[in-house]
Amino acid sequence: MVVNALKPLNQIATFLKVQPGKITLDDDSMPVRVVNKNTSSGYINIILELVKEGKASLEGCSDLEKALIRQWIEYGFVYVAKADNPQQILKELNAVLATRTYLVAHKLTIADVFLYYFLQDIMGKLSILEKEKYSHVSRWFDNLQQNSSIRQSNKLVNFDTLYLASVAPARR
Amino acid sequence: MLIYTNANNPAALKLLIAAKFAQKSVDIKVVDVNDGSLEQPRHLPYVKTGDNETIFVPNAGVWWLWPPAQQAAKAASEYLEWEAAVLAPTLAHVVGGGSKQENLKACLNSALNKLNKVLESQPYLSEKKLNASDIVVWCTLYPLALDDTLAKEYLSNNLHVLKWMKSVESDKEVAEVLKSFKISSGIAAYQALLAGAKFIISNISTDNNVQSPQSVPEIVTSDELEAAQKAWLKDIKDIPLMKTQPKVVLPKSTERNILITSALPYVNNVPHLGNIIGCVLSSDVFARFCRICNYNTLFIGGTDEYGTATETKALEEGLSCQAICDKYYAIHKDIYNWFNISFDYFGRSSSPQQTELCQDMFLQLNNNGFMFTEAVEQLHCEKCDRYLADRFVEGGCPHPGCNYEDARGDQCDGCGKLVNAVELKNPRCKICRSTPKLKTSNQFFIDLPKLEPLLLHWMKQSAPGWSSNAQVIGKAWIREGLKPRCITRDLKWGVPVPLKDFKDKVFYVWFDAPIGYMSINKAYTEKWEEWWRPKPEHKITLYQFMAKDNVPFHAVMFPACLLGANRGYITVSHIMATEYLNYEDGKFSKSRGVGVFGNDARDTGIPSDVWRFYLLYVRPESQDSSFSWSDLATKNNSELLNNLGNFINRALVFAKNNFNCTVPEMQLTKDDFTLLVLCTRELKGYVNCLEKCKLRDGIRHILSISRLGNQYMQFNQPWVLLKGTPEEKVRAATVVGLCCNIAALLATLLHPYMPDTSNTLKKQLNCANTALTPESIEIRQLLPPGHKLGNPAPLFAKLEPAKVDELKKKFAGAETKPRQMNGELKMTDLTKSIAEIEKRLKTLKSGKADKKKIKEEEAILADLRSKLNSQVQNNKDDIKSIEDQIAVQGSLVRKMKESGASKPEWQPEVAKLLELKAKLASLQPR
Repeated sequence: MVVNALKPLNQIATFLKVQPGKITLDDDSMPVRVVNKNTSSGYINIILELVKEGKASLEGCSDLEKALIRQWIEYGFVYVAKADNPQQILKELNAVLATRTYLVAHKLTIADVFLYYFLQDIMGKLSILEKEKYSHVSRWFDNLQQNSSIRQSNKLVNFDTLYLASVAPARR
Repeated sequence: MLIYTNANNPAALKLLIAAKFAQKSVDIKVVDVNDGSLEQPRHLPYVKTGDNETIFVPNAGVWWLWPPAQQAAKAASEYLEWEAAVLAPTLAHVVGGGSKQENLKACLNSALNKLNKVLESQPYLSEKKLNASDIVVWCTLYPLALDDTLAKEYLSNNLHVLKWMKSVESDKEVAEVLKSFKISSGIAAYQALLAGAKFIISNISTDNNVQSPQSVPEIVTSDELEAAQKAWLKDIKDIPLMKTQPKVVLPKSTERNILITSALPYVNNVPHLGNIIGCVLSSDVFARFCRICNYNTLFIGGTDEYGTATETKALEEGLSCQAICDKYYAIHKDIYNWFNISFDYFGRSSSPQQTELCQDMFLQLNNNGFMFTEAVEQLHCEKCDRYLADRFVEGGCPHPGCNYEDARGDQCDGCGKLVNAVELKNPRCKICRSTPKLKTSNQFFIDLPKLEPLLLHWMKQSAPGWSSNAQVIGKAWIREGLKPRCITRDLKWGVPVPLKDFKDKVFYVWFDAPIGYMSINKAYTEKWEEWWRPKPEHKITLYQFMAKDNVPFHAVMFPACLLGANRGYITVSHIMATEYLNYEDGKFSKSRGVGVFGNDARDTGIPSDVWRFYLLYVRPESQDSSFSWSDLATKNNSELLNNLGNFINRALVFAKNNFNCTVPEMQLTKDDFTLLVLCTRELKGYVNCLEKCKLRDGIRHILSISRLGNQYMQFNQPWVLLKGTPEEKVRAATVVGLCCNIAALLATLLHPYMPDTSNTLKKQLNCANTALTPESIEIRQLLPPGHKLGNPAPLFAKLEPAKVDELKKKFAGAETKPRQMNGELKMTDLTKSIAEIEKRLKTLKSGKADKKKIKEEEAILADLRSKLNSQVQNNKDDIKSIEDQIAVQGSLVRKMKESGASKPEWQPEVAKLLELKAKLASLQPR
């Protein structure tokens, strides 16, 4: 499965309440955004531009946080977008998220929002057992989707682990 | 600040140069890609910052170390993104991964052309001077430019790129870094890049011979080469052979003793494929593996015969319980024979030994104070005049959150938990469906809470060796707290309780069934206690195989009994539980005829080895999996026929046609030893997997070896070499001889999975039963030059799609019955239900019951009536059409008679008429 690359960008625009403009993909599958005769290309440029237009403080405070946001956006289009078999990225993300609530620093940034949109289809298709296997990704994703302005009209992925609750219930 | 990288990775160069320009001091640490202590997600290189953050995407690291000037940021960012998404992954795959995908190569060329065009009109990429974007792109191209062949292939037409590369290289800062961090030319550098970055590529080629782009490139070390060479040259005389099995296997003090049990399949039914892969087949593969390793192995199994399920079946078939057990024991035994399950002994749990050991175990536990009696309320069906055993009661599951309607009295199929029959919601007798009443009688309980400390201590030591689902289930049981469990019942078919006041009671099946392992062992040899109560000098490891529903009994109940008996019984150290196997996308169901059952498998004409192979290939190891006919055919045709069978057959036919059925003289070169190194890796993987009972992965290592063999043969083309110079002929002989040797290795490795095939292959190779040596895993020369081979023949046959479709249809279960039949059934049912509700309503109304309840009933009634009406309408349409047909047929008969036709002429037409009239009568409401 190759993730539809344009949908996440448009959803970010909706989330930030800014005009997405016209976003297309060029020959190298790089996104190009044209708005008011102004052209930008590349995920990072477009996303940072959208954040700026949306006046949301989601772009990180320090240079380090900004670099880490660039890192996760790149991780999104280099790895997540090409994952025929998402197991590798889920495993990696799970390991990273095991010790943190958000991808960058200790607060929500555009990196979380972007990867949330990018992972939408993958997460929706996981089996219950896989959701349990990648429990940290599940927790992170579930946390994000509870914010209705982030989730928009995306389907709420069910993380209700009835199976776990019945096989291994906690002591009452 | 510290940069971690694998050696020779050009991406690390980016970070070092960026730091140099920014005048930041960094340290570098060269590590291995497989180092477990790396920061997640374990990509290389990564920067560990002063704030203890990890930047694992190199370009983000470059940006942080040495960001471009504000006005150039946007343009620079574009180049970074292009490099990350296009340039680096394609180079890593095409050069580093050796990918032969044409589209990737084309992509690389067009990327370089594009770069060339940009550099035609400007000296640097995004600014008038050198910045981060140049560094990032340059570092990725640098190893390409260093290698003459690669530079010629990719860069010779891109002169502007070459010029720009030279200019960057001559920069002072760049040159300094290049002195401190070595990058070798070409392939090795891109292999390091690929291994470090773990690139994924979306467009996976289907060509078998292309190495999967997701795998880390094969880099063979000189140590490995040396080891392979040493192993190959060892004296053939001391290759260990498989020992012959003694008549009775007993533990030995000098050997590794392995005791293997397969869960005892319940005797009341024919086992389906899910049952077979769940216990008997899985344990058989492991037992066979242990035997090829020359472990002292005892493998036992048998049928579980006592209990109420047998009584149910006996009632159903109108036979005695004993007769049912005899019948199904024979069926089970027959099926397992056909599947080549290599039990040392296949017994049954209704033996005299079982009575003896079961009563003994009970008395021992009773003496030790782990039993108590209590009056128990038991469900009694007045209509059937019997106490209802758990399996004879059904009702709603009592566990919160489950809501399953048809839970059995002992266990709920919905949530898998054990159930106390009296706790069922709305219980009903399974036979007559009336509601049973509670009566009391005295029963024995095992005091599990008293045993809990012992069990907890034991589980801490044992559980790490269990499959993960078994650990989860076992721990959940302990966490929930153990409760006393009733172990006796007022039944007849079982082991009688050996105490005066309890003569009419028998042990409950969950108590007696695991003791079956011991009693079956006893039926096998009187010295059974050597296995079950091992002497100090005998080290025995017990492996128990089962499906996950059986875990509670093996992880909690049985160990608790063994520990409580306190007689030094052996306890399980490896519980190997599978998940469930589904059929196509549903469940196996004997009653609906859905799915393939043990006896059906044989009737398909597909060899048992192919069944074994496929079931093990899809073994539900870490999650449920499903059996699919089309997948079976695909795996047979692609893996067995085209990969494994093709490799072996090609090697042997070559040897036959060109070397007179003899293994030729071999002169192995570095390439050949490289093949042996790669195969040795797979062999190690195979042994590791099987030692851990990862049977599904083990089979993949076998297939990888033959895939490597196929690639090797394709690459060397012995058929061409044979027609060449004398040196080339020697080369051909080496290739063929080595392939024959790998086939001999495969013959051994196949033995656990496909015993028949393994034997056939050994005959074709005329080779001995070689053993594996897990303590030193290496590939030895099994067939020396001059070894006489047997006659080659294809090992596998193609499964035609048409045949598979036919089988799929056959086992899909009874399709919906003809509509009319269905309608008729429904109509009588509906009329019956309506009458019932009407009656109930009447009593409700006369008894002045709750209005809400009456309303509910009325709503149901209305619904049923409308359903009935639509049925009647359907029927009316049918009736109309039949009436028309009768009219036509009637006039035809009349005309024939009038025209003076003879009786033989009109007789068949009259018969038709009568048939139609009968049909009409059946449709009309009585």
